Amino acid sequence: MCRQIKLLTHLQLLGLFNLNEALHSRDSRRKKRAVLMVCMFILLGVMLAVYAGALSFAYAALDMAEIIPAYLFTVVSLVIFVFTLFKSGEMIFNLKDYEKTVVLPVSSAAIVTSRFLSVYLVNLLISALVVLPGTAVYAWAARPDALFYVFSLAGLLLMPLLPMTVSSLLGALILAVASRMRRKNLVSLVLYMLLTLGILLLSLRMSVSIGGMTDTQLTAYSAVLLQALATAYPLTSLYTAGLNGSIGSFLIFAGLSVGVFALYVFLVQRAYASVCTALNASAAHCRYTMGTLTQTSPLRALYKKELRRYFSSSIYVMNTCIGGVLMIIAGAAALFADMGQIDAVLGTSGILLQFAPLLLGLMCTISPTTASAVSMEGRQWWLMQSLPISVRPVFNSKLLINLTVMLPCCAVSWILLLIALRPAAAAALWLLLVPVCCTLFMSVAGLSVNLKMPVFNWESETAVVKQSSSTLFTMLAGFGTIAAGAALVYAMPAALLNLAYAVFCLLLLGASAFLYARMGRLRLADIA
Amino acid sequence: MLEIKNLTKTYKGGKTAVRDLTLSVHAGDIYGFIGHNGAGKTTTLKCVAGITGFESGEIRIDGHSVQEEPVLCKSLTAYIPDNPDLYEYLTGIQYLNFIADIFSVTPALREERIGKYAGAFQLTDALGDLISSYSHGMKQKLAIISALIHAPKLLILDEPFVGLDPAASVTLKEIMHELCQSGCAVFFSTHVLDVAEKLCNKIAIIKNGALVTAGETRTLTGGASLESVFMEVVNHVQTD
Repeated sequence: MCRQIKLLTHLQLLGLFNLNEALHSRDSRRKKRAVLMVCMFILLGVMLAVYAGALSFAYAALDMAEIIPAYLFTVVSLVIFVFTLFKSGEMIFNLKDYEKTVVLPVSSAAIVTSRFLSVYLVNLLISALVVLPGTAVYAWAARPDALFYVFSLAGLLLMPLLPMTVSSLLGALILAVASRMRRKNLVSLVLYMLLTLGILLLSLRMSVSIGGMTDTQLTAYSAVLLQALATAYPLTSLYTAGLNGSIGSFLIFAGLSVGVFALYVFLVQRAYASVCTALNASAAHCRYTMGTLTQTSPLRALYKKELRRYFSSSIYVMNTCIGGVLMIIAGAAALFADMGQIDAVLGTSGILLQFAPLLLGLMCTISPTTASAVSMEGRQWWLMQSLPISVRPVFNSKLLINLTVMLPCCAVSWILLLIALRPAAAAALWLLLVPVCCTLFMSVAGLSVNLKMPVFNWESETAVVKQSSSTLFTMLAGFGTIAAGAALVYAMPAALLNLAYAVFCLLLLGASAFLYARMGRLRLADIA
Repeated sequence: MLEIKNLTKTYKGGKTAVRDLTLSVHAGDIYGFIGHNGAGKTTTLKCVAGITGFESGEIRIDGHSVQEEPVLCKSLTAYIPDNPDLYEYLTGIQYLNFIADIFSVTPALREERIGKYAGAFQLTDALGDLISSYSHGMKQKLAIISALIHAPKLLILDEPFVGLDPAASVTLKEIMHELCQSGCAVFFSTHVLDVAEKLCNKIAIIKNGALVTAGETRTLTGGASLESVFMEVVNHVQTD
């Protein structure tokens, strides 16, 4: 049984992070891409570790070191919750994969355990990247006793269990509800969206309660923050009490984590095949009768196809509309927030408003649909290559999807900000033009990157939307673009702010036109 | 209808899949393309369909170069791969409508053709369902219907009978004959030698990327079975 679990887990992990392709692919181009991808993951891991370390260091510098373990614990739990939520259908309750494995002489229990173990190991890696640097900073600042290190290590191993359990159960419930509907993907998309908005609102509520404090409350800041974290995730107080020497609290935390997880895995094991079948079921269909058909132009047909493709994947939508959703939330938040007071608290004296167009631009660059639009064609790419269409309408249809998603968000956010901030005419113009130009540029840049690094032989959409080198490079390019814009605005005197934004917008439009023209020279047959 | 002259295709990594291949498919031909696994059949068909580029040689469809006028050539042809990976997020009718839009088929013609071929393949009832719910055979049938929707001059098929039920296989053979009688040409690969022998008026055998023999089926077999001819050719003719 243990050998079976080990083999099956090994098999699952080989498929993750492009590791196997990097090691064994004979196609030099694909190998290079896979190696690059592995490097990107390592870089992201380093960035996550540096971020956790730096933030912990900031807390320590503010003489708030006692907050660090609770903060790390909550962050890790939230990240694991979100990660597992979207992975549960693909990694745990994947019927196709189960059918491939169950014909082998392995027990159902070994299959289920290997699935959970794979997810656990990935989650453990994420936990270690956050917790280890943060704990090192805490150890340096607070000089805890030896027991802390023992509990810290044990806590690291236990930390992923409960969020994993709750999240995979919720993910399964969403799949279960959606599978009974005719529009399965749309229903799961709405449910995922509601859950994500719930998480966002929860964190917003937390930050509002913290943001409302004044300097005089700084001494009680840590206690308030600890209370907020414990309210958001009650297990935090048990964990931190354990680290502070309360063996009883730590044992309750460990018992709860292991007990709930073991019970869940045991229950899933007992009915795994039927759960998988039920989750992947489709609603009953009715007989089709031929009706009247209408004709549209090839571009319109391609656009409709792209739109259907987009909304058929909840992972694709969730990952690419997040920037737009954040823009609207920012606009709505501005209606209720006193920008002058925020500036005073942060000590930014008007800079926040000065950089507001770039902040909106940043949200537009997070994850354009075009960064994975070509890869999302997958094994159906032969269709585009064999149809009598040139590259322009194919690329245009993909660009239009990103514009369809982002431009309405830019408009809504702009209207909300106009009402909230009542800016001068020029400032109002940049609040709209900068995000629109960023959207245009990122649409073209994302597509250009994806055309250079397409992946068609994927097994899961997550691998393309969240883990492909194209998406990661596009994201980095976006951050770089905004950083360049910020440098330009910062370097110019305040009186020349309008000129700085005008130059930035013109540069973005020029770069977009250049990339678009270059794309037009490609041949679909050469993109493989 | 189809002229392939000295076609050579080498993949990255140095593997030559097709070497100096020359053959002609004329209007009215049902041309079978046979060879063992990895012989270069699919690569040749993909080059003809404009899916894969090639280094040397020339492919002309109805007199037009695949490399110089790819869009025009594709508008004259229809290609169905061995594994019909279609847009799973569309329903059958949405997919057919999409293909018809790309080929600018008028509403009246698309309704007539979809009605005719979906009826023939007994797929009409399922056209409102998502393709993701289709079986392999149903996807194959849908791919065939989509290939016929614009009345192509050249039909290129890669292992078209794999996954089809017996009734659908008979229907496809009838359609192939019907197309050829109306002046079209069919060029397809197959491993089913019985089908090739009975259905094709011409056959080409490929081995290790090179054409070994081609011609009229009757002349090629000379009274023997295609199977024995194929085994003789594959086992004894040197291509390297």
